[in-house]
Amino acid sequence: MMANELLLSRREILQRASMGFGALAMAGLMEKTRAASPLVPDSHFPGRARNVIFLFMEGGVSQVDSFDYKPMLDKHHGQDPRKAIGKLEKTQFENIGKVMKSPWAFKPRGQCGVPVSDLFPHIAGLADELCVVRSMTSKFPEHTTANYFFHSGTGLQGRPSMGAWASYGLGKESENLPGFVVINGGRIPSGGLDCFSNGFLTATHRGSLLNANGTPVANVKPNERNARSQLLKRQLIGRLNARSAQGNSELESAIMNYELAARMQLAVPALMDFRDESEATRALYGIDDDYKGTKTYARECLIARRLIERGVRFVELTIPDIGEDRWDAHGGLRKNHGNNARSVDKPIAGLLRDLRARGMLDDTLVLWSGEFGRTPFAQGGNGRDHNEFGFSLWMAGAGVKPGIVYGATDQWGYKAVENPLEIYDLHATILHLLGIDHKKLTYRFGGRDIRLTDVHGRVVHELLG
Amino acid sequence: MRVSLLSSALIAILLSGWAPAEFKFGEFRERLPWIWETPARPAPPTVQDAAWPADEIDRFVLAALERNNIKPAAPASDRHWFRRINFAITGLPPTPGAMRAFLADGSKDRHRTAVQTLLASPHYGERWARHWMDLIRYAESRGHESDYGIANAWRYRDYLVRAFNADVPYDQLVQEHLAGDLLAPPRLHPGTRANESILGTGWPFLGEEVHSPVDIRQDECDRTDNKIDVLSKTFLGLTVACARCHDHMFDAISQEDYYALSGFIASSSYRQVRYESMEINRAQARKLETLRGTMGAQVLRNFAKEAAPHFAELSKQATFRVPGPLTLKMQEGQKVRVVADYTRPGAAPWIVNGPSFGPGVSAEGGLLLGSGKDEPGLHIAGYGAARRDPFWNGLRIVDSENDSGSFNSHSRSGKMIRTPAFELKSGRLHYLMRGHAFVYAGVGQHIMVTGPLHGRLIQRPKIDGDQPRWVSHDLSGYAGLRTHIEFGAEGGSPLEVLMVVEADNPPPLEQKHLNLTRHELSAAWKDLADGSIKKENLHAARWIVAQPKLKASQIATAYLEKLEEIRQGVMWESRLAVAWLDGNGVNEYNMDRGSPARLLDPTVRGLPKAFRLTPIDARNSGRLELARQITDPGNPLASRVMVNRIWHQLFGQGLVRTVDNFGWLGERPSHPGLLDYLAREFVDTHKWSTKSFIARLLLTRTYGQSSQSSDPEFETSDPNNILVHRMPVRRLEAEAIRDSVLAVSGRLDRKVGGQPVPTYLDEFVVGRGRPGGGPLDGAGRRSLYTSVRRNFLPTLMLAFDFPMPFSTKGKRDITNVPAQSLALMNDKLIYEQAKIWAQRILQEMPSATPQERFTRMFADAFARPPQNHELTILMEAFPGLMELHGGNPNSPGLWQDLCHGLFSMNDFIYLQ
Repeated sequence: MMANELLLSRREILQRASMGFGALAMAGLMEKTRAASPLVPDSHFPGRARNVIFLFMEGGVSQVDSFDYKPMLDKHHGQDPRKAIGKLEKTQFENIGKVMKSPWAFKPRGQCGVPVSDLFPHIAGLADELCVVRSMTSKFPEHTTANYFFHSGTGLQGRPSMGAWASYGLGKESENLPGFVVINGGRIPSGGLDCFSNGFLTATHRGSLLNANGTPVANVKPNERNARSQLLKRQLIGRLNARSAQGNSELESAIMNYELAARMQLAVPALMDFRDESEATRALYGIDDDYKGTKTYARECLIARRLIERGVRFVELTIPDIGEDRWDAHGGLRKNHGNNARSVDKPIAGLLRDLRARGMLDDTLVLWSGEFGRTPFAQGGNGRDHNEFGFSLWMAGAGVKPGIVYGATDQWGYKAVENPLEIYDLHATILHLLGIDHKKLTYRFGGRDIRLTDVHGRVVHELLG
Repeated sequence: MRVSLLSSALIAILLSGWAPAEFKFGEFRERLPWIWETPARPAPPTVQDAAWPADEIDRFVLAALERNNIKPAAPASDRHWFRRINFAITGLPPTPGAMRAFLADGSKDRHRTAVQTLLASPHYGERWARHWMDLIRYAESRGHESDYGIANAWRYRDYLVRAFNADVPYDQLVQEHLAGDLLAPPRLHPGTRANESILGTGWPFLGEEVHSPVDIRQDECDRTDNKIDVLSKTFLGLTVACARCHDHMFDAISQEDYYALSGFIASSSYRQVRYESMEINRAQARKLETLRGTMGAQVLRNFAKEAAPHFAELSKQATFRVPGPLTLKMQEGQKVRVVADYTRPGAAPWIVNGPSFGPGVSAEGGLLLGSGKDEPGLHIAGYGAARRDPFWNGLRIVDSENDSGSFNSHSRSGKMIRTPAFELKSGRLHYLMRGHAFVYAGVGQHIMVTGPLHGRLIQRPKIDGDQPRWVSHDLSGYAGLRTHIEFGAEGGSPLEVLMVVEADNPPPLEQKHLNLTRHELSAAWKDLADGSIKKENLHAARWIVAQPKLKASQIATAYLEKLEEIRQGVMWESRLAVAWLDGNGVNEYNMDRGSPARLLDPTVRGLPKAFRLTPIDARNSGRLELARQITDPGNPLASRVMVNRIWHQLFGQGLVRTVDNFGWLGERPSHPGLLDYLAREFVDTHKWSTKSFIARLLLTRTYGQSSQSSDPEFETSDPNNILVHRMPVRRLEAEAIRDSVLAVSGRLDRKVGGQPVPTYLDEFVVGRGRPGGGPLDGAGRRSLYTSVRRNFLPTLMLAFDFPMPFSTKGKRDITNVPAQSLALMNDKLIYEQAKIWAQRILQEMPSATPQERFTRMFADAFARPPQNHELTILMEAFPGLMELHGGNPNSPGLWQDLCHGLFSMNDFIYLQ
């Protein structure tokens, strides 16, 4: 994996360049190539996961209101945190309120008995599938930098996102699919599309944006009112171009691209057309839910499944725009988290059940996380500020231990104290599940061999089944 | 705390095995000795086929081919060659007329004529400015969360266009980028007399800026890293930023070398400069100074003459109580650190943006002569200060944007003074001042001030009345960090800054009073009548001239007349541009593992030691010396890197293919002798002229080759065309494709320069801070003029590999993906332009046959007639398409389809 782009032959470059969203061609989209394709050809060792679905909860979900139950908050509710908890770290807004208990009740769930709050009733029902990490840490208490960090392992703009690294490291699973697709629910994270950047990797590894609503892919919709008009035109151009290419591989490949592009015009609508999904499946995801946010996120989850069926390596979902802020509950925690949870809870549970039922959960890793957590004490009266010192995420599927809890925060849910994990460790573990040694996945740029995990990261074997 | 990519080089070492694990300066320097040494002039090699070369350059290329038993390709056809040079020079397709004229030109010199004509076109500057913008990571917004705008960034873009068009020698261009604010004299715009040189210094501030960074010092380090990365790659082809955390792993660049460059960044600050008016007003300011210097005595004498009767009345009293000196009462044991003392000349460096504070401290006892009819006063300064001169109060700004956020250098431009940079200890600052000010503390040079943090960097004190007072600024949260303090005058208010101190409490201010005898007063009066005031009579004289009864007609008419003359010559209005403001010299600390939390000793500024040059420990930034060292003809890299960039743009790949990295991890030159020969030629023969050097390369045999190998076998022996055995088939860049579409349709507005056109926003240009959208066709302007907002780059441009502007990118990606075919097929702009093109053809050729129209379309799009087989194919397709459009051979929809189809022809986006 130390390939230097400059040393590749033109043929290799062409092969690598024929990915990217532009390559969403019919062969990949309309046929289910998944079962037929070999597992991860370029990996360093056999991986457990073939695909990753990253459910990014932008803004920062409060751990103490979801997956990290802290009875101390009930007991000390309303007290001055500086007295109850002790010295507090600087927060972004420095508007420290009182210790604040969760408005949502926690109950032990499933066989495993892991407590999950009523914020996520549907996901709670799948507790036995979840591998909950309660000791995540970040380094940045501010969204954009933290988003870049979570995605790319650096707090800087324009570095390759983990999806781009996965695409780069594993190559293509199917002939015609991009490695990294971002399904846009309407709310692009702080930091913009650079959260999904290819950085210095070639542009084909950039997270290709697919809109869950509206036009799914740029330029996939013909302008011509008459479909035949485009067909005739294409035939005409095909004939004109064929003569001029004369064995020049670049020109030939451009001609091929027209063919692929033409098929994409059919294939993308086919991908987005759920008519071949059963009523039961639609209901499972919540496609026809009353709540707009749920509807959108249900579409995203279903598209995610359809994409990985068709061989996309890494799918990331952004949260829907529901008129509410992202999970960034500086004030009005109950309403903010309530509405955001309402959007994603049912679709996520539906996705997990559907993947399980189809046997796809065995080799699909589902990752659920925000860029950081929130403070156990209030910001102002009823919000919570950013907290990078300890937060929760969960994973499910391919190769992770189901029904367990790993690590712990202190008794307040404030700071990770037991087995604290860094984003680097998460990245190393995800790459490991994909069959990649994170220390060997490098790319030479600006005179350095660069890794997703920089000089850090350990594979957290305790999470692996 | 931020993490850094840089330490990953450590891992590279562990993995790669072939690189040494420690910094071996000598060894590193010796394994690539040539990059540190001035190129010699190699003799062009001898070749077997002596008839082929048209230039000595060709001999280098041919010799390498002959060594590998490869023959160069046949010459390209005139049509191909002409189309090629049009794109190479201007980025636009040739018009059918230009092609006809070229083909019809039977003269021997027609190739040279064609090249010269195109180089004289203003579109040359547009094309080559854009190449340069890739190096400078040009953008008009700051990215990060909300993508705030960079005020007036595009003035830098227009500067580049003008500079390339004027063929400013490359050494001068580099000097302007590094020290355009310090060049004396600067290069002036031939028409407007605006300062052009200073515009070159806008680039440092066109990078990413974070608002409300939690760790402001770390953020500064990251910004500096990016500036050093751009600087060292762009001008030197070196990756100095690799050495931020530790010595370079592969090149003879130490960590100290990184911090030696950091100091240049730390020694200057951001400003918006009145670049149009500054040189004109600099001259007026000098005249003003001279006038006041020479006429002071006359004004005093005149005053004494006119006021004599009133003074006789006044001086009947026996004693007089008059204001004396203003003093600071230092208490026992009180610790006061003086950061800047403007009460005495020469005590603090004079760092100003604009003429409003005059050429230096306005000293105690100095005459404050009136600034015009409205304020004809005569005053004597009771204390020294940096004092706003009301003469300049009429300065105005036109046609310019203000900074984003709370920072405001817009209205302060031309009337700002700043202290030297210093390190905060307690952070408890106090300013002795009078008047209204916009005070900004440049902690960590953080300028994107908005959001929850760092609002306290800005204060707007208002001290009304006649007495200066202390204003406190609590920056204790920033203790230990470097800052400077800027004072900008507000509105028409006076502003005097006397002193900036750091202390728990400022020393109390005391206004002393003197009891004078009539005798003492008369002594002062005599001084006035003599036109020269002795120090001991200062306060008495000051009191006399301040008496309301004596105010009448106290200014010499001659003075006012001359003042008015100067005023007439002032350029009151100006546009603004981003620029560096030179500060005091700061040597940056070396940082253990790149962390500002672990400071080591400072490093004196200078270029990496491997160059073996003198360090630059200047009192100011030292950027001018840096610029001179880089552009010295003996510098081994400046010329090599630039000729290689030009070669890269013209031939598709550089002689060193890693155009931004000549170091160990870059590639070795394919033709080392040629590289050095070109570097010497560029400097010695072409005198750094980019235009003449481009012309030279375009007229070589090598460039004139066809893109077909003369034998398919050569594709095997030279598969990557490293030896240039033919010209490559090249896909046009994003801008050239879009510009071609507009040129062919006839919609192209060829206007040069101006405000960016807002980006057309489709469903894929989304995110926080989304700007207002622009028209689909970008107002018909060249792509260069579409707004470059970091987080909102246009979809069509990205599809064709427009680079993300995060650091130097001398070599763009060239991908070949179906998204590009989709764009050509379905992009709304392209479809719309096909319609405009078709309408034009139908209008201009209402009764033409389809063949005639096809011929015209091919001339428009490819500057050639269709070949027979192409006409056949078109005629075969015609009936089917016509039928779809109601059987009407003149249907606009039919011709839109046909025109649209031609945009998808490979010939449209690929250059042979």
